[in-house]
Amino acid sequence: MFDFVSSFPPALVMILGAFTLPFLPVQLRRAVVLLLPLLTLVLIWMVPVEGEGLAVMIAGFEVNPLYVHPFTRIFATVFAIAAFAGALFGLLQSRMAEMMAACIYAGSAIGVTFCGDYISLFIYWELMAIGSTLVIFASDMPGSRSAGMRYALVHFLGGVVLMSGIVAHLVLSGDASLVAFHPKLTILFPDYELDMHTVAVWMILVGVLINAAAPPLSSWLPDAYPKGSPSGAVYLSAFTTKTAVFVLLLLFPGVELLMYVGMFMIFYGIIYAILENDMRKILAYSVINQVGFMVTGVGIGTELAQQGVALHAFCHIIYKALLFMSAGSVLYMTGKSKCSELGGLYHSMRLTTLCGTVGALAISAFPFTSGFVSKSLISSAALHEHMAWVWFGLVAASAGVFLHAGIKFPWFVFFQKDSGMRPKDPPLNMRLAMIFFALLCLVPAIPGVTEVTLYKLVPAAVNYEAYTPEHVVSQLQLLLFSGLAFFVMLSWLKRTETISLDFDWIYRSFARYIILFSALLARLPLRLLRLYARKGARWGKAFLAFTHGPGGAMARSWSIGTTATWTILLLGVYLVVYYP
Amino acid sequence: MLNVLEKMTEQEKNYKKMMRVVWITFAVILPPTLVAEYFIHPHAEFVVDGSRFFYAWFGFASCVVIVVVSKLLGFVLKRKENYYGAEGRDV
Repeated sequence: MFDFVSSFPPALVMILGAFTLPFLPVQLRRAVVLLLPLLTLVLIWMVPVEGEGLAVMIAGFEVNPLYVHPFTRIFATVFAIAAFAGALFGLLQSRMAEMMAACIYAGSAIGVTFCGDYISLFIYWELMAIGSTLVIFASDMPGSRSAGMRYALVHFLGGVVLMSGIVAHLVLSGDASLVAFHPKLTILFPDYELDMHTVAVWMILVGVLINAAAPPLSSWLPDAYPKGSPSGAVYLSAFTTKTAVFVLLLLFPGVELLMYVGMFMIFYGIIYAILENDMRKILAYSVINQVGFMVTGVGIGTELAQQGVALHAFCHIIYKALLFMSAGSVLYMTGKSKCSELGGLYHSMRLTTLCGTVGALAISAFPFTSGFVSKSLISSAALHEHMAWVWFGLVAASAGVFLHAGIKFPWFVFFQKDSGMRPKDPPLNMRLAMIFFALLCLVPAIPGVTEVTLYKLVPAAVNYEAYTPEHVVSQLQLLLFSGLAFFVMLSWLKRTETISLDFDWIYRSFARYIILFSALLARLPLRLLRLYARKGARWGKAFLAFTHGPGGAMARSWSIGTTATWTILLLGVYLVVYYP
Repeated sequence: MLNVLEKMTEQEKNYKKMMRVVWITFAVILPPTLVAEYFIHPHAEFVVDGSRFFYAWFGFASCVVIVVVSKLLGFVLKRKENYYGAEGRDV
């Protein structure tokens, strides 16, 4: 019995469980939605670390959908927790379609973390794309259908690229197991030839990076996530990008290119979040910014950096879900999402304000919040490797995070100019979900507790001490003076009722011009033909009118005298010509 | 009408009160973080980060640069909300 339980793929609990939901009465369905993630969590911890899993041979490749990688547990655990809190947050409000889609989505994300091979990875990967697309479709936000369609197109493109890479890799290497590539294989080293295998690895990298919202295909995230329902956005913020981080951590640790990609994502996220007016779009851009920290960490690739990435992903999922919950509560209670229409909500939404602020402090890595004990691992890994520009970049970015998410989000939503609205706090289940996650942002960050809870989730011992006086003081200086900068430049940060063009402009606007232009081009020959045919017909008509029209030489009526003269003339010529 | 006016002024009063709280908070909490630096022994990895109040001025300067850059980019990137067609329209 125990063997059966411990060898049951945890992912299947939620994926199969999703299909039972429509057949259950409402009350039971709500209980099941909450129980499925908890059951999954138990199963995640029952899978033995050194186990053989469920290895089977398929088409000559060993397929193993139950393999425990070093960081499997921490990712799978936080996915299950996020699924639970998301279900609690939307327990009474979300549609059944959304619940089902979210269960499939979360289950397949957990499935990815247990994949021992490329084949099962790809299956869960695509299932995740389908689940997340359905979550967006299930939303009743205006514009969610077309946003979901664009989201699906980007992800299926990513899936195709990933699959091409996987197929080529399997054929060339004959091995399906998920093993880290040597960093050298994947980066454009001048001494390394660009052979077919390198191309395959590049395609795998690109396919994964599309899911991580790396540029240039990054704008799917801020395009689609804010179109989710208040509870749907909580799920959406948790899984897709973080499974991509997990796979990057598994396959591409220490690939230098990822440092540059990550750095770009960090500042891209900050700048767009500053330009943005929609509160959930601010949070969506800040997801890219945070994933940028993780991708940079993967690029650094040392043990400390890898632990930092895993821990940061763990903490990030929780505080970002908390932020999306507080924004979702505001949206649910006021029906408004633009910063320019919000403000002064702290008067009546006390708990939401408090939880939103906790999330904002945690994302800013404020001391005594979870971000503080996770993000600093990545920057100190850069410090250990003497990567000066990476480190300075990360410090500047930490200041920027406080600017765009730590202060901007709570300030413009809950404080700033009073909008006059006095909505209540959201229903009980939403409040409970927020309190649960606010505690998860604070409790594991208590000095002393961190070492026995959070740091135990990664396999090797964490050789880092977060709470040194020096670190606390320097972080406080950094953040508080960034805060000062925010208020000093407040007039420059004034909200405008605008959107900002992003990479999706290429396929939302520019592509339309391309299509219009090519349609024009394709019709050109016919148009020219028609034009000249018309002209020709006009000329022909004019000629006929000249010759046969009234007064035309061929249609004129002649006088008898002229006719007689012409007849005599012709007969005379005839006589001359035929005279024998 | 009078009611609306009263409400507006009350809202503005709230805002002024809040801004005062913000500035007082900064005045209270910023100096201690600077003073605290004299009681700890920072070890610099690179040269610049050993300078006095490095994190304070670096954080402030980074934010100024980020805001200025985004302000400039905003001139290029910002569009009206209905740029992609009517807001929230399903195509």
